[in-house]
Amino acid sequence: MNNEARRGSGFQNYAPLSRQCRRVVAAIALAATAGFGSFTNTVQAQSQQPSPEAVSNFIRFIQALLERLEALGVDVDALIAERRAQQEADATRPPQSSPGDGSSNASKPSAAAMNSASRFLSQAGMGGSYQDITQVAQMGEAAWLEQQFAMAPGYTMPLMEEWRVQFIALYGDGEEFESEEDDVENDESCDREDDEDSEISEDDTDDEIDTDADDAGDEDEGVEDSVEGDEGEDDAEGEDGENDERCIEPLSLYDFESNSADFAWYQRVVHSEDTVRQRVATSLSQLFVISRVTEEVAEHSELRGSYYDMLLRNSFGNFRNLLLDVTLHPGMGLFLSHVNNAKSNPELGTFPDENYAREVMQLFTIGLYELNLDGSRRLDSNGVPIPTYDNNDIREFAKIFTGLTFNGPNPVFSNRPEPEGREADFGLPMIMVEQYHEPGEKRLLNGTVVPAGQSGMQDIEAAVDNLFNHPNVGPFVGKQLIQRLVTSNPSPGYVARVAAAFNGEGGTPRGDMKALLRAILLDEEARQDPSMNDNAVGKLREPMLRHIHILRAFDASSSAGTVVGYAGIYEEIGQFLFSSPSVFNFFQPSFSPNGELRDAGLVAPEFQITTTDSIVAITNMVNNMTFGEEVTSYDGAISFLGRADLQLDREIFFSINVPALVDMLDTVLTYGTLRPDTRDVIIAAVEQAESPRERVYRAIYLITISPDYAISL
Amino acid sequence: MNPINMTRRGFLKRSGSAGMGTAAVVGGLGHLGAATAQAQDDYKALVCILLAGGADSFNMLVPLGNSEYQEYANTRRDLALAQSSLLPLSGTTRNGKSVGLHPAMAPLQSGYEAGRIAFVANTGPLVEPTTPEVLGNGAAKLPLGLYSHSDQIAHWQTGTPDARLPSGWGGRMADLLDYTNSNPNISMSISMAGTNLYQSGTMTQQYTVAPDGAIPQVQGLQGEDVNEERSTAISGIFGNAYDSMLRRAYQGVFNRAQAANAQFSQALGSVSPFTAAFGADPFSQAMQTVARTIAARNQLGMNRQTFLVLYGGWDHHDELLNNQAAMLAPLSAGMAAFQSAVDELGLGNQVTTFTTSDFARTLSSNGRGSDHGWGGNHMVMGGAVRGGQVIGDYPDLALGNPRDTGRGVLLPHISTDEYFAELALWFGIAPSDLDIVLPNVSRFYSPLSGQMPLGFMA
Repeated sequence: MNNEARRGSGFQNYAPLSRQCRRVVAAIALAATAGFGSFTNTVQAQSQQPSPEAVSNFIRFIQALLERLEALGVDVDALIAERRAQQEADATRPPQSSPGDGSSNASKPSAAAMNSASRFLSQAGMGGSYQDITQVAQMGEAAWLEQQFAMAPGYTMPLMEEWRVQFIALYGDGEEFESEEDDVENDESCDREDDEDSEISEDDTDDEIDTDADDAGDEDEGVEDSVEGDEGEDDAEGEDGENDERCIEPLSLYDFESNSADFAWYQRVVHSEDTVRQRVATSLSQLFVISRVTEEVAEHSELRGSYYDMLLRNSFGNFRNLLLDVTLHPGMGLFLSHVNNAKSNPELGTFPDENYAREVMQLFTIGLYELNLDGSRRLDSNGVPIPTYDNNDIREFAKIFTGLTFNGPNPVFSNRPEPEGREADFGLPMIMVEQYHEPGEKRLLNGTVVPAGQSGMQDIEAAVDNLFNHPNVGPFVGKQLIQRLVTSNPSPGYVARVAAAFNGEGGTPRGDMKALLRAILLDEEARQDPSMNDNAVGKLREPMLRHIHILRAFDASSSAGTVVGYAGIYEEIGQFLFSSPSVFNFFQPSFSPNGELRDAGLVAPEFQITTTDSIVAITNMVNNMTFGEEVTSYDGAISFLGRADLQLDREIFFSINVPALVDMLDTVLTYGTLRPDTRDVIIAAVEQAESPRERVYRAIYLITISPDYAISL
Repeated sequence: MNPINMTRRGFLKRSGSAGMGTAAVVGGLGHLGAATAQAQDDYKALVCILLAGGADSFNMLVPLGNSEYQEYANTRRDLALAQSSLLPLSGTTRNGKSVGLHPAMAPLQSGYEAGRIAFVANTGPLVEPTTPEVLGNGAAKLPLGLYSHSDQIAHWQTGTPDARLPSGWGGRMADLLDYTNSNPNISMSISMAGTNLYQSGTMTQQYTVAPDGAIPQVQGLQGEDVNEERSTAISGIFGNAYDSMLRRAYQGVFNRAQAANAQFSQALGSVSPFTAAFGADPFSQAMQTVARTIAARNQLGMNRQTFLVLYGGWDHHDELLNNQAAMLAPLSAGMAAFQSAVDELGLGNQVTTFTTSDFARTLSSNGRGSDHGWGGNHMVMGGAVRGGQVIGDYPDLALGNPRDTGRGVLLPHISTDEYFAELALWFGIAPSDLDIVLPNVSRFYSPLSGQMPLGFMA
């Protein structure tokens, strides 16, 4: 690959070509020196025995590439001149003592550094593009993490409000929409989108590719389209006779408001710079679960939006404050029913609700059994695990979580959904109404007694402290966060190091989230080169994180510039924020699929939602993201029929050299863990697709459906 | 019973379960079935309805006699249903109580009166036979994580409340009976509820179907959209010999899906519509999909099938009365429509449906709803059911009665072992194999006694 002279000579055969063809050849030379693997061999093979058809196809292909580059505003001639100058300079320079990786750019990170950075971005964050990865590799992972810690949170509530205003401006604030009104308003927004579409000059290419997709079984046609598409230019959805991205019937204000938290979350996780915070908050949403199985949580976006923002705010704070904020959040109050939970009433024969009391211990803080620092269960003298609490403890904690009601103007402690006069503000923590709080002392864990006569909030703070200081929290929470971010089966030593960081062994306060995250993400077990044959390494990617990762890896955008959500993604892949079937999340940390994993004593939680039907849906999800069926998508207040536009300029540029393309995608998507035989299969399949975009789509599709990608090592 | 099962037991014992990789075993024992082919009319299906969240079943089966109703009303306070609203059931329970159903359960009242539905009273997970006295003096061994959703819902699926087993009793039945089916790709354990513990066997896994019956297919691999290049590439990738066990596990799920989904979809597509009218609600739709799958049993090569249908949302800590009424109506209608559809297929006596739930709920109110309980009332439906009766004693509901462990959380009379054993024996598990399915069963029942444990199955 570092034989520049030989590579250059391969193109001399094309000397007699026209000016345009010389530019073509120069463009190939440019591409060839940009770090391509077996490009030279491929082209030389073409030049030695070029069938007339192959030459013609090849040149048309390069012409399309040039047009594409120019459409993007790339000054190809200037680039060629620059490249020539560089080649001449290289030729006069003495050979490097270290051959390097074929890169003439000293600041370019090594392949190993790029793979490591890519993996880090997918563990700490939601994954990133080639440029994002380069930035992490150049900065170093620890330094980049600190930069992320310092970033301002990308909250969702301000976006939701912004869009609400936008929505009302577009569609009015009537709850009901008459269909005539709809049409009129809808047309306006469609015009708006059409205008934006016309500013983007890449429609043609997209349309051609869409045609490929629709006729996935007949790719030869697709190739012709992409080469000759300028002539009988047919719209992508020609049969429908509609625009590429068509507006669909707008949501009602009610539907908009009940979904805006989801749109805002999608916008943030796909586009926000603070990807580590977004990833951690999303992971915490699977520990401190609330779900739209509770009607109010489903109906009120501000419950979910403010809950997510609360998780964002605490992601780099202290676990103790996180636990208190979770406890007092009206979303949790509704989900685990401790809002408007009254003290016992002997006359009525009623007792405090035990729901939150149980789950805060079992699922959010300490778990069922006493743990060692390394996450293993402590055993009593008979070798039996030691329960952390019993039903009496639950009843005592249930007394603590009484007296809370919604904040907002004119608070009313009432279990009626809408008592007269109350205007619950779901963005504010719940407040204490003392007369409904259980009086008397409460006996907490480890002999702690809360004395009678304290205020209700003092009781809650005491209970939060009692749980927070339980020795189980470090290993219990630490291990689950390792499982969410890095690996399903951390070694006991890894868990112990993380738990020690939580406990403040490194000098940080107990519960410091940044210390916890540094310990998880920078641990040697997370950072060592992934082994392809160590069965304890890695995890199955969560379906929703796969979707987000692919959007981020290729800087997905839509006509309005952002991608904020898809209708029906939950139904497709069985996972979406705040949509688990119960407080036990989508999957449990101890889940082990039937078969050799279970026999080996290994867990793989995400397999709990990977069934014979969901695995097909996930596979087709990638198909839709690339070759693409239309889906209803949302940009702020606007809903339209279309799909995210993956920004594939770099990939299309590389597509003239399929091995180089696949290797680059391997770095971005699988951090260099694509098996050689998977790579061979993909290269062979991609080489059969001749349209550049078709090649790229096919490569992305095959990599992201493969076990190599599904299991992140 | 069936002598083949004895052979099967011997096979299981010889092979040892732990060492057998799933990939090698799923369907890999089909040859045994072929060698000892079963008559197709031996078909049986067992349909489990999981009322997830803990259904308040003391508001489903309610005492109706004046003094017992008064006791119920005194205990339940604001959660009590009006006496006049209850749908009376003929006869009295074994302990002489008359009982009625929740007013939203009219279709099931008819089923009861027609002798196709039986209730099993105050049933729940027990580690060993447990009297109130033993419980009171603290000497009883109790189920793990009593009152917790995750544990109790697991106990109902594993049948082993003293151990957190990775397999369920439905899956262990499939381990024993899957050989009777000739399909190498589709398990006899069909889940409308995603991956679940109940149908996880030591050697068998469930086949998952969406509740609406939709079977997704990988795009571009069949039909008019077929793309040979894609097909070749996918076969290549998913044929790799992966080193990583996690990658192999993913590969395994994908390959099973590929083999099974096309076939399943085709088989269901060939089923004629039922006369029975199913509601549009998800539960009724899931029951319809079960009926269609049963109708396609011959195309699928199935002689024994278990089904799991999930109906969630019963955790009524608040708004109990309204929400329960709204959820019982589709439950009742969906069950009744299912029985009609099965009768249309002429399989009324060969399909049995039963309910499970995490637990019943506290009899006392928290002011808005009820909290997590223990023993509860359950339903069994089918032509083979000795219907029109309540099995077991209907418990006293007064707070402070000997079975009240606090707040009206009732110590069960009947263990899930007995409940499940009756169903398993009907399904074709040999008495001598019953302890493979239900490891604790002999604590409650002698499998070789020659009698059924509870007597609700003919």
